[in-house]
Amino acid sequence: MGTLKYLILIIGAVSSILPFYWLFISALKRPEEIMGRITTWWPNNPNFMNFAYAWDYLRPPVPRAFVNSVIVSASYTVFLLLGSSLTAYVLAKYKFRGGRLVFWIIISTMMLPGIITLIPSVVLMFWLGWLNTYWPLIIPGAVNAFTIFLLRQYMITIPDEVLEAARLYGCSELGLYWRIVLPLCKPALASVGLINFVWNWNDLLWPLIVLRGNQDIWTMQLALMGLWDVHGTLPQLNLVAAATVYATLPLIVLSLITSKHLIKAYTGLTYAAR
Amino acid sequence: MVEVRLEKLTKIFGKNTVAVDNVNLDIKDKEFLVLLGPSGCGKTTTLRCIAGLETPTSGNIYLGDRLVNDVSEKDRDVAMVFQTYALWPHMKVKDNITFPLKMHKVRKDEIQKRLKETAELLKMPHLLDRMPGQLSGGEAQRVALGRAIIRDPKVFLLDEPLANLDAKLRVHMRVEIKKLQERLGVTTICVTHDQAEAMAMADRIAVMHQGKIRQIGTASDLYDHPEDLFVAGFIGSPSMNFMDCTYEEEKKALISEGFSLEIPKNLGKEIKEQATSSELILGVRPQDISVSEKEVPNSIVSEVYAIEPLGHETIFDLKLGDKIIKACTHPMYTITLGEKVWMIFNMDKIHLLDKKTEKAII
Repeated sequence: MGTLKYLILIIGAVSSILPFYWLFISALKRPEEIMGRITTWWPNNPNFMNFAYAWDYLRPPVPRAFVNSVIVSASYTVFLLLGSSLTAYVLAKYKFRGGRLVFWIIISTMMLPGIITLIPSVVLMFWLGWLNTYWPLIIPGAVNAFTIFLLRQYMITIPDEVLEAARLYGCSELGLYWRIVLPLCKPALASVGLINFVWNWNDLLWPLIVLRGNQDIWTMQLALMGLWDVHGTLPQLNLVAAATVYATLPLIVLSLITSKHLIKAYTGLTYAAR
Repeated sequence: MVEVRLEKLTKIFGKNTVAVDNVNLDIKDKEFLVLLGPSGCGKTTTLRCIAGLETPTSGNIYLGDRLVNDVSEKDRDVAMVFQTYALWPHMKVKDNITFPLKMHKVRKDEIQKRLKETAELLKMPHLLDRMPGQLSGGEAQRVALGRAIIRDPKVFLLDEPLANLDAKLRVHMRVEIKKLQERLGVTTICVTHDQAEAMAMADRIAVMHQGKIRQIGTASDLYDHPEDLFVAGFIGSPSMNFMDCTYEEEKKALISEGFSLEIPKNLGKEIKEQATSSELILGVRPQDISVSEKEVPNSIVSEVYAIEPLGHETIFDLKLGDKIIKACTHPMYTITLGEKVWMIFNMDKIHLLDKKTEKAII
């Protein structure tokens, strides 16, 4: 039983790591090797200069696209965590007429496929004059039904006495949210924050529609996709791989930093198990 | 420090769940009052109404001369120790304790001074830099007490403060809490379901049942002179024994299936004056029953059903008809199970209650 368990774990680990390994070695290969008929598991002549060439290969260049992605994903995550946690807090800890109805309306939006709201959303962005700016990538997602649901479920598990004690000792309602609820929700915030950051970072369809006319603010994903347009022919796959490493690296680093919170979150997202 | 006055306090949850029913209570300045009662009797709800964490359905709450019904919890100047202590797990002990002062924008040097004083008073300077998760139950309770007293509140509310401690620590901490209250001289209201705790700590005890206060008095008042059947049964461990009986005036005796007990003349007079009928309930505390292996006058024959030797005393479960009567006596090693013994009631300590009204006659 023990051997089988380890075997399954090894298969899982290898299949998770293999794509990254393949990406990394592709980034080190020369064009003839990457396009060659023979598959090599380690480059014959590793070329680390590919990372330098990839720097300017994208449009906009990697530094600019990277900054664009950071601005968009970080702002989106901050807005999302603030907006959704405030909504979740009200739904979890305040009793008011229609509260349950509001919650179910929010939850029901999770059932709608995103593609259905795509066109109306674009029209809305157009009316707001936000097309070809950062805003469509930051604001519309700031209140997200799934995040609200997850955070609400977590906040319900915070004992009322913990909040009542703060109230009794002079804390204002907003202070309660800021000083008590948010710090206590750190594991939940870290996990939903990371999930949403990654989702936003990797998103292609929505930025493609709303940023089409302003290449300066293209995100990494958009810039990577744009390689086919920019160069007119098949791009150099080794440079694409190197640029993709730049696009992936922040997510790997972020996962390592927040892994403690993530493990806790996935093994039981409750206040008591924090 | 202030008096606390509850006037016709009522709290109804939903449409018809009456948690607190028309409670009137005066708690004197610097008094330690315990609200005692079984689970669900409304004692915690009463406490939460005083704290401002629940809004009364009707009635008034006064802190001193001030009507506080519409005053928010943070402006009532009361402090509360919750049953679970409700420490904030993300803050160090010192931040937990000083939180009330920071919220009231007290100067930093004053905060440090008071933190030092409080930590020394509660013997916990070494705990200040720890996180709540690193504290034992007793330490966490001291931190909760520290947080409550640092702001020098007018009223101190304790909600089952010892419930989460082990038996030994509970006995220790109830003395500590009593001493602390005496030293600080703060009007204190404590909720508990444990009568030993209540009797050890309280100046006065208010016994609650089904949302109402059944009796208020000192520990000895409640023990020696319970006013009704509930208080008589609730106070004392083991509980008082109750036996249905009838008073026969000619014989000057209480008659029941299995016994006839002569009572002093003055008791007969009291029964005649106060009872609504001759149907009575005889109550005798296990401590007021002695057991004899030989028949003596005015004793009741019974059979030994169980023996609980506790070392310093022995509890006998004695079978009288289909009832079990408990008797606490000094250890008697010669008595065995199934043996026939005679119960002798201390007639100066018996309680007689009207069966109809369940009120005490004596």
